[in-house]
Amino acid sequence: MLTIEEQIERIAEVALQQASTPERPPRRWPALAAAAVVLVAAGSVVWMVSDRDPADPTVAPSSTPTLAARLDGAEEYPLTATTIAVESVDVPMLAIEEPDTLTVARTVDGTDVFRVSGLVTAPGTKVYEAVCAGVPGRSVGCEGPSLVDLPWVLGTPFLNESEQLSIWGDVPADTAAVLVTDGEAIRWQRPINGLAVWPRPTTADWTVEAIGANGTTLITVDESTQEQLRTATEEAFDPTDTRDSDTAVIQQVRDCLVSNGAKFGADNVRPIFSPGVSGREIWALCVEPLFGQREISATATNSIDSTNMVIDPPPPGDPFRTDVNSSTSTLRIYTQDRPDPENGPWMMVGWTSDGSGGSPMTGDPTEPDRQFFDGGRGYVISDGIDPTEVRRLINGATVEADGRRSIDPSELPDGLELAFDGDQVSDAGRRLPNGSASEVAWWADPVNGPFVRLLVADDPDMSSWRTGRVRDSWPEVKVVDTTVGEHPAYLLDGAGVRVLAWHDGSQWLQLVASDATDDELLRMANSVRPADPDEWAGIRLADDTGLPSDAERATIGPPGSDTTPILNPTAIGSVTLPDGTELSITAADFGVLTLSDADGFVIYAVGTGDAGAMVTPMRVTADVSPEAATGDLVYGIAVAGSTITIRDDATGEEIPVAFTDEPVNGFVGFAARLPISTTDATMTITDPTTGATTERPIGG
Amino acid sequence: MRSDRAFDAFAREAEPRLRRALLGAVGVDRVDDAVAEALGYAFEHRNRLAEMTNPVGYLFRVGQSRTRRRKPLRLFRSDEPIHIPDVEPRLIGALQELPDTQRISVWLAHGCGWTHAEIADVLDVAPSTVATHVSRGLQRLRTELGVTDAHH
Repeated sequence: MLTIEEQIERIAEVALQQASTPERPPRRWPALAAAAVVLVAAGSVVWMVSDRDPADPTVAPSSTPTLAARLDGAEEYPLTATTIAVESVDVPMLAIEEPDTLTVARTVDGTDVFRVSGLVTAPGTKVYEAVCAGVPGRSVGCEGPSLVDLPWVLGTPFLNESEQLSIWGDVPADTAAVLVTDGEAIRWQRPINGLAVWPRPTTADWTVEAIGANGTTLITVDESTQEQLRTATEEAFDPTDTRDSDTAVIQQVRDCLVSNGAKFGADNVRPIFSPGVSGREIWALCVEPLFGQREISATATNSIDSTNMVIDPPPPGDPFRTDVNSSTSTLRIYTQDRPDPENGPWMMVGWTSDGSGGSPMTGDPTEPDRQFFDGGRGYVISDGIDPTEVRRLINGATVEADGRRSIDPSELPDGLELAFDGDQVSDAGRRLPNGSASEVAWWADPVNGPFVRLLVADDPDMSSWRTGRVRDSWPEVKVVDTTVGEHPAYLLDGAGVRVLAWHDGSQWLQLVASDATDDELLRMANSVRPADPDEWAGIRLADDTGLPSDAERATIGPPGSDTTPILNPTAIGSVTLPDGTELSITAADFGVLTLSDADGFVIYAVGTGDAGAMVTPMRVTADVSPEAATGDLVYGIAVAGSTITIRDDATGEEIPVAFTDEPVNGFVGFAARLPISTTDATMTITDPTTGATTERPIGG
Repeated sequence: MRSDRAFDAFAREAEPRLRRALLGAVGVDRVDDAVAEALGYAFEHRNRLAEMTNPVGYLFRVGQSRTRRRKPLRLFRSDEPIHIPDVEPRLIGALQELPDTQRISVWLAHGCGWTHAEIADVLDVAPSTVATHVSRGLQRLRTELGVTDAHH
């Protein structure tokens, strides 16, 4: 059964297909044609016809079939990433294994298959760079570049057909799906790290296509091309070719790897590198001088610390996203989030839908939702702490019954301490939802600030969303102006957690600490510098914006971007709702607005964008104060002097709107409470200067 | 994007994604108008558009703001029940009846594959707010369908 999310995706695909087919009620055409004749004289026929013309170029669908269309009608033959004991992958002809290229996956029939690349040779043959694929412990074949088989696998561009499977170990890297047509049977599959497998064709009428995310065919192989490849193979591998130097070549590569830090086990095949060392870079360093520059057609990503995770290519129908699957959870991430193969994966702790814990997952510094500092540029924030040690701690954390992870403080490395166990407790005593993840723990270096945070998913029971207090006192944030170097900075102090934020000329940076003094934070901030590439590659620890979503007033980001700071908060004033509720509205830099109750409890915070010129009505559900059993709040800020009316769409009834008394920086705050019976309403704003009127629907 | 040819290429590439996003926002009855409005705006402002990092997101806002949707919103033209394999039939109705902000957030996130940051950009809210809308929307759908959790 598909998940709700997957069903929505499917609905979108089908709805789009139908919406792209213009509606043409046949019985209306005569009437429209008659109307067109009449309107010719009035000169309106062009508009009239073009409005109804299915060939209207402004709405014509793309002529390139989408990936989803290419796969329409085909049956998925899914391949699932898995792990097996690496020693059971027996590749006799593999002389040296290329680091981080071993991928193992399981077919829907339960057969494990693998691919690995490296230098291969066999008695009486020359040494080649090749991709090998097969069934672990049972059979294997190897393939040279460009689908040219090595001499010992003549006969098919696909490897290892002895298992009644065709295994393709060198699927082009840009492939989103492999489509296999075998007579009447049409199957498709998402390849994993260049590995695809399907039942061996039973007819001669077979075609295999590698299809890109945009629906284009990257490679097609069928019976005729197979024959051409067979011929090319025979020509490419000269049986009279000398083999005298083969042993020397292999030894030369092995020596080079060793001299660059590799160690070999008893098999003398697999080079092992220290953590943080890029084995693939060293491999390229040692191999390219002998074999020329290599085209890496598939990048294995299963070498990250989580041994049960793989990052699939984008699924058909949507080139923009991909799934990260582990044995316990699924996280949808996006193409641009995929790990940087050069710098290695970032690490964050994933989450499960049932809150029972998670597995380390990868993120990417280009994903603004999941970065601590802006991506692409590293910053040294914790000199002297070994990321590997922290990573070990994360992986070894105990998953508690409530989904939180705990770590024995005595196991923390020197210089780190457990800052707090991260309870985000609502008034009802339950952990707060956070939309996608909640922070449950983070470790702080008392001098250097935070280093890593742990995140878990919302408890689904909590996903009904209820605003609550975040660590009780978070709303009471003190803001102090200061400087970091020559840059203005702000120190936010609340509930013992201090945030120092400053703009370094290109972006906002922040440090968070629990115990550090102002001086310590400032000293650390002044020591922050851009990391050089080597340092950056070694940091590799991702972070989340971390702070609870409901505390976005304390998160930092560039103006108008993903996280919006509330700096320099200014009280706009208070609002008395028609039902007597007193609320205060606070505006802040970058158009952030907060609504607070009489106790100072922040009900909601919202960024208004465009320096507040655009009014964005926000509706706050009544579960803020469930005992009140009243309708939803609508509030926002508007240019002073604006006329705002809100009407119930169903009844036309005007709903009273309250304004703050005095404008601040040219803006006023407003608020209204919708009757509980109101489901949809429309707000009309009249600009006091231009008189322009804007209507904005108010949904839920 | 100063040449018409460059704009044509952009429009061809952007139109399917734009249409998909707007479909969930304004419904099938207005999506053609919204796409046309957005592309018309895009052509008029093609030079400015070329400097944007997320022009499709911007055009989504244009298409949405220039189109008053018909109520109730429909995702399909037919008023007959739509059968889509492996899709709970009641989900379409429940999706249509979600409040605007929740429906648009859920649609863009799961129907169109937009990131929360991209959605936040077009809705003028913080990504965390989008996450809240998505979470609440999904929960409401699950409640409507009587399922406890469908995410594994």
